[in-house]
Amino acid sequence: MGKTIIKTDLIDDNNSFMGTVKSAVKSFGLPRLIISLFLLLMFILAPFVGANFFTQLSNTLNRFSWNAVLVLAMVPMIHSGCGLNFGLPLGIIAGLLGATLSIELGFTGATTFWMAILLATPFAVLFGTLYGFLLNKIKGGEMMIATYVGFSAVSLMCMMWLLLPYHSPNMVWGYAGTGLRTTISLDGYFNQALSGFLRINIGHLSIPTGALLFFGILALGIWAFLHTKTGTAMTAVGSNAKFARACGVNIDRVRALSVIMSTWLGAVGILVYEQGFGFIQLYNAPFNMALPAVSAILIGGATVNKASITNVIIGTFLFQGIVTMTPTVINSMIHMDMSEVIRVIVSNGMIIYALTRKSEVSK
Amino acid sequence: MKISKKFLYRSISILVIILLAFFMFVIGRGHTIYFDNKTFESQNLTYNSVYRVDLMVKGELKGQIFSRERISDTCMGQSFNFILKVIESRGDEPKEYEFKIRIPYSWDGVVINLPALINGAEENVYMSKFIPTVVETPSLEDDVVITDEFMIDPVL
Amino acid sequence: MKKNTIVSFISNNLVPLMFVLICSVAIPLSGFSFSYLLAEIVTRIARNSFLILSLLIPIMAGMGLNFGMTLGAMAGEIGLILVSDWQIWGIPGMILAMIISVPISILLGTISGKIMNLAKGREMITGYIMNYFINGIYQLIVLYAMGVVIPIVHSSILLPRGYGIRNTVSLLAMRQSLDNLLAIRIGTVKIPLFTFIVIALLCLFILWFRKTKLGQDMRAVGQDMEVARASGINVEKTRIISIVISTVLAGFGMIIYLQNMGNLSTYTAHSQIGMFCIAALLVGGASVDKATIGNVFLGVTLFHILFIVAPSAGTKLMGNSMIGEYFRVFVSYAVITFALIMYETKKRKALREVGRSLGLSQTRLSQSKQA
Repeated sequence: MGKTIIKTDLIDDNNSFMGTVKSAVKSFGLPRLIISLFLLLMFILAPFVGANFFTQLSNTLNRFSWNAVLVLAMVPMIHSGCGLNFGLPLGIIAGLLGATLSIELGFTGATTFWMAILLATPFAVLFGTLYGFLLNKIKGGEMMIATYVGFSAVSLMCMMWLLLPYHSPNMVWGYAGTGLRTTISLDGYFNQALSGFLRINIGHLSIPTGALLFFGILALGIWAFLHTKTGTAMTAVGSNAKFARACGVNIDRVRALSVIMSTWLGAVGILVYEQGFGFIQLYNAPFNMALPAVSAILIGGATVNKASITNVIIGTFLFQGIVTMTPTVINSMIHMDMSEVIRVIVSNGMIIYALTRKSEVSK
Repeated sequence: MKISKKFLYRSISILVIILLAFFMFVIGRGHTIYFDNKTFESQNLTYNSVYRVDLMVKGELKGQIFSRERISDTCMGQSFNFILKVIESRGDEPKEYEFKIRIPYSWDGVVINLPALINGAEENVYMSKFIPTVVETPSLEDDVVITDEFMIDPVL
Repeated sequence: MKKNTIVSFISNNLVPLMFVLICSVAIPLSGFSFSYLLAEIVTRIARNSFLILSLLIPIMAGMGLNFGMTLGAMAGEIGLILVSDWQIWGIPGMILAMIISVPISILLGTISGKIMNLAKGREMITGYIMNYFINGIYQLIVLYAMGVVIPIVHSSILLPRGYGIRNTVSLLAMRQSLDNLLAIRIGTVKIPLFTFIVIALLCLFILWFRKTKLGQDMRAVGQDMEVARASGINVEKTRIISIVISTVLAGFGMIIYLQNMGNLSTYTAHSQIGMFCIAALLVGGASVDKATIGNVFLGVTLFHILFIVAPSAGTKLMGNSMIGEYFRVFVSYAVITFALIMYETKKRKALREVGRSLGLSQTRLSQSKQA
């Protein structure tokens, strides 16, 4: 009896045309509609201000390929009801440890990338386990604590980057001989390790096939996982914890697993970002990685406790589209570099919008 | 009745705050005053610079202005009282003058020509608006705005 | 029995005690003289206390740490920018800046309060994100509208391109004008008496406010929203008012803070102010749901001792001043994290106990029915 789920359509004026439009807007979400239209407008305006459409599209695709995995890292935690993963910096730190260790151990070329993932994994699992254990103790207050756990970890690592015994001359400060630099160039290591693989160039259009493929595989993996028994249990925990408990799911274990997955994806995500960007950024840099990822998945239509792979793809594309398009288009139109401010307002406005929405299921 | 009373209190308090703001506008307006001890010609009259002028504001010696010198002082509000001890030429006994001048509200800086003031010239003769002569060369560095989007820069 | 009280004292005051311990190690390491430290501490208490006190009222109303106090700080900064363009100096300039900041603070506070009402139970993270959002709007106004829509006359504060405010605005004309009023000097220590009088007045206001009808309502709302609503209190409005008061006070606090500094970093001055104020309050032994005036002063003292001594202690200990700087940032974050975790675990414990007692009473009820 308890397993039957009754779906009710609450839109009463379903018959009229306006009603269908309204419900379509409602299901798509007004903010997302505005952002999509805005981005569409940017693409239409781009040729008029002298920007090549295909160059712009390539830039957007390129940035998409850097950031998509970081956004994907939001999915498992949202699914298990842990909310938006403001603690993404924790995963990023695991990734940074992997990258720096991989270079320190003397690997070169694209091998560094795969070694970095391998080396980052134990850290990600360790951090994720601790972090998951903590989040299980404070159910309901995850997001604020996640933010500050992330901040604490980043500032602790700021000290560690200075103190840890790294020696590779490509990474440490030249004059002191110790302490890692703030930015480390990846030339000769895994710069473009994925993006350069099978890159397609047609005129102005350039597609980073390898990076997109890598994201595709990970996304498929997550999608497949969410359809396994454990995956459905995870969704159940997020959408209806009581029901899940009644079905005999160990809630704490499932939540901890989702946190470990998110942390690991965060670690891989930063490595994918770095291979595209070409540099490792240490110290304060991980601070400002969580918010863009959070707002990207929300722009994609996710809510605080519901997210899908489609949300990730749409959201990352829209967010990165705005990031790449607005500077070129707006600047040449009004000669004011307002793109930064627009991005700040849009992305944070989106997060606030999501936070104020009533969660579909009360815990 | 009760609502109107509340409304009354509110409007009175808002009025008081606006009046207070207006008052602050008047008493807080700062001016920089430049005292020139320079020979000055105006309307076919020549006011010769004097040997030394001591500027006293509120009983405090602000400075000694020798011939062809300039010193500056600041004041808040539009009326400025000061005492000048004038030594016409070296070795003379100082003569004391007390002045109270009104400064136009919109002027940030005011130049006062002391010889003209001492010799009883009109206000528009001894007082003129100070126009900063230093033209700033815009450097590229100034145009770069440092914002802290993610608020991570510790400043304390 | 006595041992038990000691244990509970330690567990209740873990953070302040930890700080006393860290400070007692770091002070001798730093090598600063006592008189220098004292002078610095007095300055910083005068500079920061007002801002930290602005956090108390939302805590009373059960809305947690008001991360959105930065909004008030931005309102205060807008007031200061306008006042320095109008060339209103000294204390009148400060008062005028405060008057200008009030409507802006009320507007921002109301928006913030309304949004927090939509996100009940998530007030802190919402307030925290509000910072970023309003910071974007602040940049829009200060960087693009000022000099275009809002007239700015003086080129000394305007960017060379003709619109937008420079990175720093000099507040030389009002620098320490409040602090120097009635200032007393004892040796090398300058005591800004008037600033302390203003802070004392705010403390008195908060004490008085707790006893008013509105203050009582806020405490009721803070204890239990549903019970408060049942007893006829307009919960939503009360919560908004608490945020508005906090925002307005934060605006005043920022003006007091900046008159002491003597210049305004237009785009970065407010960025960390909320975090540092909250960390200082928590260091003083406050928690998310309970904070007293005593916590404010203890916290500001301990927190700033660490801030002063950490870089040079770090240099002595590790041979790198950056270590000390990172350490103090880490400590601020760690303290906030710790306090948040303590609060959430306590809340869950209380909830579980309520659940257990409810369950007990229900089983009793059914037992009596069966009987």
